[in-house]
Amino acid sequence: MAALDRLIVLVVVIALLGLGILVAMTTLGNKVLLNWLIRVQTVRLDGFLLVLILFLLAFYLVLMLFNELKTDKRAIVSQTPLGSVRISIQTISELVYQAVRAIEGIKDVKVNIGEVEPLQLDLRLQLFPDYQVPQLAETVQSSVRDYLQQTVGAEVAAVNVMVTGVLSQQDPKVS
Amino acid sequence: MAEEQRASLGELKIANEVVGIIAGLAATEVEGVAGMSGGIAGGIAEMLGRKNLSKGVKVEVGEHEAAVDLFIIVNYGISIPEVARNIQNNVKQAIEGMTGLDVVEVNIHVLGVHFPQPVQEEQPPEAPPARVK
Repeated sequence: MAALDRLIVLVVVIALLGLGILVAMTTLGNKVLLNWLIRVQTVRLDGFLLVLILFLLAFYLVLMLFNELKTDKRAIVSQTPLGSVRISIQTISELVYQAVRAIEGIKDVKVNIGEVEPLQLDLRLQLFPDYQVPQLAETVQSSVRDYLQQTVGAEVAAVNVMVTGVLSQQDPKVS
Repeated sequence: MAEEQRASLGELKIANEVVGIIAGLAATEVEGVAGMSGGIAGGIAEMLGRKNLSKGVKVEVGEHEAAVDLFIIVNYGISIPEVARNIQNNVKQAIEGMTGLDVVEVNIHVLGVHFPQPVQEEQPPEAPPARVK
């Protein structure tokens, strides 16, 4: 869970607690909430601001929920005498990403995992110019296969490469 | 003999939390393990300043047996099966050695990879030799 997510959850919790306390106080005869509501009718900005903040918080929470549901739960599972070892799809993607990025001539790569058993990868590559594309693709395929065999111990059935773009110019040599 | 003593002197129970901490420490000391991965509750607890030693560990403790699930982040560039095997052995040994419980299962869940920050900045940027003087 990212730091921002935690912060937002904390803010929502505090807001709800505050609202709860205000309502509880209102039932006990306190007029703070009522007075504020009456004030909002004349000074609209306060109300709008609060509504905006609440809507944003709600929106963020819904987004978080969807992200959580969308997370790929698949994994490569192997059995050992002492139990199972599960390697998540995210781990595989990160490893492949780094392995491909380390190859000369690759600008960027998007990794998509099609099948897990057996492992099938789809790579979308962005290249630097002046490289032989078929040769580069072959290098990518073999190094991904070797790398996964070595670090994950998994057989790779297919590495499909799609070249989506060639960079029109190299990054500036000095930044 | 331990069983007899136990029967005569009372029961010995070890809390899940204790086994979890032992497992967590044993797992993180294995080379190649970058850290444990806690869930949402763990994240909030940590934010409030509570260091959780059994973060990313799920244990089931029975009377004589224990099963452990570990959720880990590994370092980049290691062999995952090898590290997993080391963790399993280390955790099993640690729990069995310290508690006497029989560890029947140590399941490893690799949730992510930790990449070391590039250390390019350590080389002082060399000024290119001036072409003209």
